[in-house]
Amino acid sequence: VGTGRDLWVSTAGGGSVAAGTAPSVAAEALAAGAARYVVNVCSITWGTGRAESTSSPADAHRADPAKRSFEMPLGWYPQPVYFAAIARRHMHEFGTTLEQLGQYAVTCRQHAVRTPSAVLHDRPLTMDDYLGAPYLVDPFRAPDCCLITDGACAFVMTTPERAADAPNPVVEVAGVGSAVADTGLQVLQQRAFTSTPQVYSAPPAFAMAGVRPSDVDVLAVYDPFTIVGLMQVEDMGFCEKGMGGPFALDGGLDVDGGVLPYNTHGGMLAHAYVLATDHVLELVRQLRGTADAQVDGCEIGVYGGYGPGASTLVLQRGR
Amino acid sequence: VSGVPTEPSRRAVFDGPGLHDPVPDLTWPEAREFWSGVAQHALRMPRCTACEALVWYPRPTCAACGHSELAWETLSGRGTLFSWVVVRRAFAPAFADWVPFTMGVMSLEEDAGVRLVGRMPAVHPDEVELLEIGSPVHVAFEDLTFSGGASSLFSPVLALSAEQGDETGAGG
Repeated sequence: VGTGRDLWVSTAGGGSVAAGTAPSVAAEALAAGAARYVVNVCSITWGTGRAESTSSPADAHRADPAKRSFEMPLGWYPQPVYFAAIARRHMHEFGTTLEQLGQYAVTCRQHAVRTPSAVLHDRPLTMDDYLGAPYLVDPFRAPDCCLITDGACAFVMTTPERAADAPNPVVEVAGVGSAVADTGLQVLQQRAFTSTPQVYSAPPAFAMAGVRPSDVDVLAVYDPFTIVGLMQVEDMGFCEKGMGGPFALDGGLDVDGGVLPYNTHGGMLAHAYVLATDHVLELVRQLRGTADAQVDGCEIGVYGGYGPGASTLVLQRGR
Repeated sequence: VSGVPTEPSRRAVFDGPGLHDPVPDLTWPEAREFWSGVAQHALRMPRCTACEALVWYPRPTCAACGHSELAWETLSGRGTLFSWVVVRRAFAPAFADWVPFTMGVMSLEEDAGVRLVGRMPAVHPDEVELLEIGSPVHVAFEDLTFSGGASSLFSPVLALSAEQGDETGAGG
């Protein structure tokens, strides 16, 4: 490949949790001299796979013998069912409302409308639209669930020294954190039913970066369902636990004037389903000042990865 | 980034291996234990013989203490309603004739952190106001029939205990 050396390859990259931890894996390879530039890649063909019934995001769940034996025969399948039950429980524990859940979908759609690359760019969604949509699996309606698309996304990482003369402004990795859920994909049995492992992933990432949640200018989280975005906003410390609903309904997530502009490209709910590698790309654009729905004076951007487990990636505008 | 948008409500039902007839994997001894209990109208799960924690889902060693000796036992079949949903779209061909159906998540009486899901055939999707999280529920049993046809199995389902005046649970 023209480097004059063997190609360094790792299977630790990709999307979801790995989109947040890939920079720390890359940093090790860069520090060891095993690589000079590292590309993190994620590609998905589940849009086609779903249409042709050849592959789907539920494949990993269907492959789990416990799910095949104790969940599927009982009708518990697939992810929209699991996460609708989490949403229902969150509503019970914290008073979260359907409208508050809907605000995550509506805000993301508003951001997608301002982002030409978003799959749902030309499909606005109002709160009335949301509340008028039929239930898919109560309390979820279709807009609570992410897109299923084909797509691919990549980003390049290198040392600050090598990046110094790159053509575009540099974005620095300031902090990385990760955490696991001991129940893995078996979300039904996770003890903390209405939380994500961001509880353990975000604090060390923020500490490494030397920032507090209130310093963050833009947030992008892995959002397969509205409730997963809502829980991560809480679990990363941007509001009190249980207040992720009111936080959104008060306009907190809005790119225009919100205290925490959230999934400013539309997220998985409205931009694309490439396991949130496009979320990291969006943060890079925000920090370079080239996003379609640009946050003014953006200096700190954070990615929240999820499932199974969690990761937190703190990025900052290069100095 | 490029994408092929698919509208969930217009999507065809995803079809694939095991989705017409999602019977348990009875080549797996743990699944055999559970489903042979169900055949006798009993809810059975393994318990650690050292720390006495229920180990669910089954695994070779206790998740709480690491002990490798587990013993299956018959549980009360009682618990409380932890969460619920109404499935209105058939996410697999097997469930085409079931929808819409109410599903409950039960927290077991023996360990509130262990959960069992089940259809709630006595709670019609139009009367979900009957469902109050925290209220007593119990396991009942009925024939397991998918849209593709009957299986030879029974299935655990969930029932509201208070509404049915029945606190006897799983029986045995």
